[in-house]
Amino acid sequence: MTDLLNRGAALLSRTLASRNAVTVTYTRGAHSVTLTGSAGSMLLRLQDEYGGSRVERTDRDFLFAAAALVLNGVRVTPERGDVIAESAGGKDYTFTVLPYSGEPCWRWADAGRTLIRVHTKKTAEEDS
Amino acid sequence: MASRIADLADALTTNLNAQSFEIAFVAARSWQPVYDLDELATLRVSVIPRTRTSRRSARNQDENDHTLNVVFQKHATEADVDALAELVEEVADHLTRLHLAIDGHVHPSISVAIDPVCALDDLDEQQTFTSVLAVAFREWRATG
Repeated sequence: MTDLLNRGAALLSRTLASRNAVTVTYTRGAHSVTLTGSAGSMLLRLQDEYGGSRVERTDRDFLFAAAALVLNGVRVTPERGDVIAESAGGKDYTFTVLPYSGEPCWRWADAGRTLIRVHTKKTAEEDS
Repeated sequence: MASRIADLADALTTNLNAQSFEIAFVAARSWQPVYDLDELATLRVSVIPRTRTSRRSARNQDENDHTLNVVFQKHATEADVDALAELVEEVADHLTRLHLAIDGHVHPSISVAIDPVCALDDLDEQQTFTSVLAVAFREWRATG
């Protein structure tokens, strides 16, 4: 059963590039890599802030193959503050890797640790 | 008759924007400011009316204490917090001695509190510096 699940995860990892895929640029400091994966819906959240103000933010998760996250020749895992740039619908979006609701900013999406789910928040949006 | 706390908030906003602080900002008065996370690339300072406490201070006089929040919000990493916290303290020092005049009546600042100095969950989950400065102004109002 475990082998079946691992083979399923490997199949999902391979098909991410061809189904509902997004291509993004993943950046940490001076190093970047182009990744293809899938993205969750953009969720608008309204957070009651301190002192009476409110902040609207857009949360978005990305799912991609762990083996693809290679920066400066080294395979890495996501870190808070990493930046994902995505262009869609005539807009350039910048998402920053940040934790969500007490969870870490990323987690393994499968038992075989071949897929990564990373949590991000939209921190910039410009016309392309 | 206009809301006194709203008038005080307007007067405070005008006063803050006339000062020269270590980090420049433009304060804006609002009942409930709403910012998109994108917009916090720029330091946002909001003046928000919050509470009023009233008591009788003499036979023919009431005391009203109006509390306003001055909320500071900006995209920041931990490395930026020291400078922003220093700004909030600078504004607090200014407010501690402030008197606002409205309709010929003087309203002195009677208390200033910073809580939180830096909201840690905002810093962690949104990379945002959030600080709230609460300032109370006293109004004396003749009755009867």
